[in-house]
Amino acid sequence: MNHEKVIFSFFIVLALTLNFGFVIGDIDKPEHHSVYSLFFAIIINLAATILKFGDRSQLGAMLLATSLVADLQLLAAAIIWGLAEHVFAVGLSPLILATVVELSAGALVANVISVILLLIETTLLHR
Amino acid sequence: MTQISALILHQMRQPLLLLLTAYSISILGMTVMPGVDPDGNPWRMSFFHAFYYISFTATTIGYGEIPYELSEAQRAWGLISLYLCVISWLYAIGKILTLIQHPVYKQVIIKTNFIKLVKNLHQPFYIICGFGDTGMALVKAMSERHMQAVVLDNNQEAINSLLLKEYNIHVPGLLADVNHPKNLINAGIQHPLCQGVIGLTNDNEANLKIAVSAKLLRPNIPVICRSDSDEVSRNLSSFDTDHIINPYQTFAENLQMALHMPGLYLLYYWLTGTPNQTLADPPYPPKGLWIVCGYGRFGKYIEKTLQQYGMFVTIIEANPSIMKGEREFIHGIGTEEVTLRTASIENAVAIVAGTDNDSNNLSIIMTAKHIKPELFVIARQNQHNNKILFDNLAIDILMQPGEVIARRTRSLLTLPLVYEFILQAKQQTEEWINILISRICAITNDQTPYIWTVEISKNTAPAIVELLEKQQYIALGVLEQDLHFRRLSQYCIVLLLQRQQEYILLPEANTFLEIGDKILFCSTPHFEASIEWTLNNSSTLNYILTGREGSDGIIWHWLDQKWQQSKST
Repeated sequence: MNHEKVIFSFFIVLALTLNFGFVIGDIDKPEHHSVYSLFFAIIINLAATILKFGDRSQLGAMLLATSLVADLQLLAAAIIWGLAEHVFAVGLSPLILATVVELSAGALVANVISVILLLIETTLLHR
Repeated sequence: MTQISALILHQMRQPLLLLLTAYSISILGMTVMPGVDPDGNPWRMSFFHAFYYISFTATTIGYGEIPYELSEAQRAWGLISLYLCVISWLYAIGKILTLIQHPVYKQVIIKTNFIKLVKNLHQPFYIICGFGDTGMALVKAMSERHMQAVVLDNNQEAINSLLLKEYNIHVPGLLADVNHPKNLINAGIQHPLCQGVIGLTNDNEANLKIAVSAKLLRPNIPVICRSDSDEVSRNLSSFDTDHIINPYQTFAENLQMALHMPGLYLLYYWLTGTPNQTLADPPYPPKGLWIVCGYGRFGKYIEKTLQQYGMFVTIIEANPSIMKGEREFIHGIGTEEVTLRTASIENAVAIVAGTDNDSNNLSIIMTAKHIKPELFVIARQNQHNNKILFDNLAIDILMQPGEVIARRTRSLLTLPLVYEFILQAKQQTEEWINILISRICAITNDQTPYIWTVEISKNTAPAIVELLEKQQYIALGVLEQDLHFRRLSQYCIVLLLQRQQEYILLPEANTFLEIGDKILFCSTPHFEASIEWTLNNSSTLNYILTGREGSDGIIWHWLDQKWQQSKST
């Protein structure tokens, strides 16, 4: 059993589940989308990205790429939320919330790809 | 490069994860802690405010309690986050700085920069392997003539000394093992402008490896190699190494020149030496009994040369196994009076101190001079830093392997015509050479002459080529004329003119120039600058040819023609 693989799998799956938890629900209902959920999704995603730093294998590079995409999408969602609430003072209107959830849904796709890649690696390297 | 950056990124995982954890705990805590706004309503920080607060706290900037005055709970959490984040930052920064200063990482950066530098070279260059005394002398001579060199050496001290030297042009150098062909590729052997590879390391095997790699990686560029052993030399010539320089053999050839024609020997030393040094008198090796101490590679070559010229040679050698019973010898080092007297030094005319130990060589000379002060002395100096000691003894010919190789390589690279000139001059009489020597002395004020080559081509002599293409005849003497007073001939000697495969020794001033001619000049550096004008500037050339400044612009040209016409009618 590879110690590093376990930790990474934990983070990438956790990133996926948290992301899913945030996205699920009606797209424009604020009560279905908790800000804490988004916060944890971002933190865990970043951790998963850092864990792939300096991995020189082909699959490692692919995983780094997909999790960087997820980071980008989630951070963009968080920034839009913050700007709407504090800078432009429009509040969390349905339009803004829909944009935030759309972006996180994109991140969810990236995370799903990460997990699929991880599954492929595990099956191929079955010993 | 990718390998090392991957390693560094891998090492940075830990500090980055620590920072991420510290920040997320602090931010999360801050959003949870209950607070009160100025109106007395319960209030909690949003993620936006929490991130802002933690950012300026963690970096110890500290803007204060923003946006409202904090509650006691928030302050308590602020304390915890402050210590957590600041300590994480210190750890992360320390770790990252250590990684960047890692010697392996630094070495990789240096290597990458070197490869980039070589790749971007825009002028023809030579790769020099080995930056010892020989390599140093060669690079110096090349940079004086603005020839680009790239240096490889496996000794850090040598590379450091390269960095400290101030040359006319920047010479890139890399600490690398020349035995690895990869390093030759890094030094640009496959670069289209690479003109040749020169192996000057102390190690014959390494030089052999350099020559083999160069011939395989880039078959059509010249390779010059140093080789001290006959076996390696034969090996090198088996795959067409262009020039193999054996210091002992080269020295023996020079000695042969000194025995045959002392004047020619002197000429060789002047033409291949560095300019602006006081001219020395030629050595006159006497005929008679010679004593050679040390029958190694050096001794053997000397003995062969001396015997060719009918000298009697007595060998003194400390190690009987070297002799293999080939010839008679006297057992001993030669440092003791007894040994020298057995070799009948009283009747000898000359002594050669040729062992591979400098202290012994010095001792041999001192003992011999003590017995017979008028002896002609040839000494072999093995260590560069013993030069001061050898200079203090009155030595007629001093042989330093490094200097011999540097001189030969230098003339091969910078002045290939000099080598040809010496070959041609060998056919001449002693008197011819003596006249040439006195002519050189007269123009250079008893300093070593400055030698350079001029090629009559579009790039190097545009003004001359322009006229030659108009079917005008230009005599060689034109180049020797002064720019300011055209009737005065300047002080310079044309040593050799190469026209395709033909060589003309000391060509006459009325020889007509042709495109593609290569001319070997001998004068002072000042004169080279003045000749450049004649070669490049058409109005200067015109003045020298006709005595009139030419008219450059169209209108002046037209007026000039009108004037000429009216004068002729």
